[in-house]
Amino acid sequence: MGLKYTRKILSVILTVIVAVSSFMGAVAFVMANTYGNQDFYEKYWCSDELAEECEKQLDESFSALSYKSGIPLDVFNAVKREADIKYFIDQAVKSLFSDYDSTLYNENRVDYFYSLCTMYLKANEYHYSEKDIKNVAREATKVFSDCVGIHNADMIRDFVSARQKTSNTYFSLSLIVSMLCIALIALLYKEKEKGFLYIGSAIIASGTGQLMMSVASVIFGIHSKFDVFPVAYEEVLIHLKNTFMLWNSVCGAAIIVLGALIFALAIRQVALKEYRSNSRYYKVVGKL
Amino acid sequence: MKAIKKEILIKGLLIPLIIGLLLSITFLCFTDSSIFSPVSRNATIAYHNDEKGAKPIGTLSFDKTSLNLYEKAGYSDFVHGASVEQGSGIGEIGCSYIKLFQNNAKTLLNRDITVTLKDLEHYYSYDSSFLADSEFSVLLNKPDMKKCIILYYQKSNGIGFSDKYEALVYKEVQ
Repeated sequence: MGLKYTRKILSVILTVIVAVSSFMGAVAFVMANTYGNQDFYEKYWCSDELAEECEKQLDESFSALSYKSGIPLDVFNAVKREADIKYFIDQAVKSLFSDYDSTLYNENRVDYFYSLCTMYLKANEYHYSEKDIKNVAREATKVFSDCVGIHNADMIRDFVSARQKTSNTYFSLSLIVSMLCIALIALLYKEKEKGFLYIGSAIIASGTGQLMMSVASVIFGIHSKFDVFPVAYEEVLIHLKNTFMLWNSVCGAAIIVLGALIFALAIRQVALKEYRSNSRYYKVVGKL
Repeated sequence: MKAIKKEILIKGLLIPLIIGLLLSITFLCFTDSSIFSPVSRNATIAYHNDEKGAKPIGTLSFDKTSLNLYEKAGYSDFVHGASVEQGSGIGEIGCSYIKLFQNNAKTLLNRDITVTLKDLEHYYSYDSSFLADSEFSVLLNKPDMKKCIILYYQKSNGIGFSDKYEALVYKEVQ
């Protein structure tokens, strides 16, 4: 009786450890494949709302530059005819993970704005100082960079590599701990199906935890205050977090299915054994 | 059969639900939004002039012109405004540096100006002007006055604008 009781307590403790470690492992797995993966940013960073807001900001700033420089707004707006704003934002995101400047400020763009301005001025026979127009082109590039480019790229790069590294470590550790505990549970029982009931239970618990955490975070807006500038990027970070939570809940649901499958098979075995032990035929065969 | 139903209820439903609930609560309580944020709090990803941007702190009036006064204005605010870039604070001992577009400063020279902050008016009279090679040089200039403001703008000769800055020094009068 005492041994049975100790085994039960040990099983519950190991179940909790398996649940915690597989929960952490699964969250780390999703984290590594979302926040620790550059494809995640390239796919989910730029939304239509962000592109719209960046375009609005660019329009307002170009209007101010036009007012300051005396060059019509259409001249600066030609950059939007070159490609739409979404394309430029995507370029900035891709630049986060390459050698290019994610702020989108570069001498090529300065030259591009310079040629736009001089083309207009020459066509309309204005007299101008090349140096002054170069200043306008530099300011136009800065305005473009401020509105469309991504600043503080180093912070983002560091975050991505840190997430990748820590998530992989957590995932490996959790996998080892889970496997060890699963092996220990299996060792505790002669009738393995009884052990697998605990293992299935732990796996369902881990998936349930992931699912509950994701649903609660999205519905109640938990961890949705990032306090970054500007507002449009606050929305981007919320969108990234919600996408992470969506993948996390998908992973959680898959884990629940796996746990339920293990649990169902184990319970079937238990039921079968109970049926066999109670049936007359097996009682006779057992005696023989 | 009853024992199996009990097993399903306890191990298949109750234990996973309780552990799952505890796991999710623990995770959400012991982490904060920083694990989902690629940038730190109050970091700037882009420079947009939105609802979180600069708000007018007062007005700057001269002649028949009245401009909104901002603390570190966004670029588009300069069309109808001016920006306090640096300094001790309007009405306080020391000098405040206010940046504006030359278009808005056309009628400024030799005029008295009024800065209104929180219904409190500060009057300034023109004192002198100087040219500077850069914005940084303007900000380094410290006039020998108790209370003053420096209004400065990038010089323009019609089309485009030069590297030079023109700065106008105003002294506070009672």
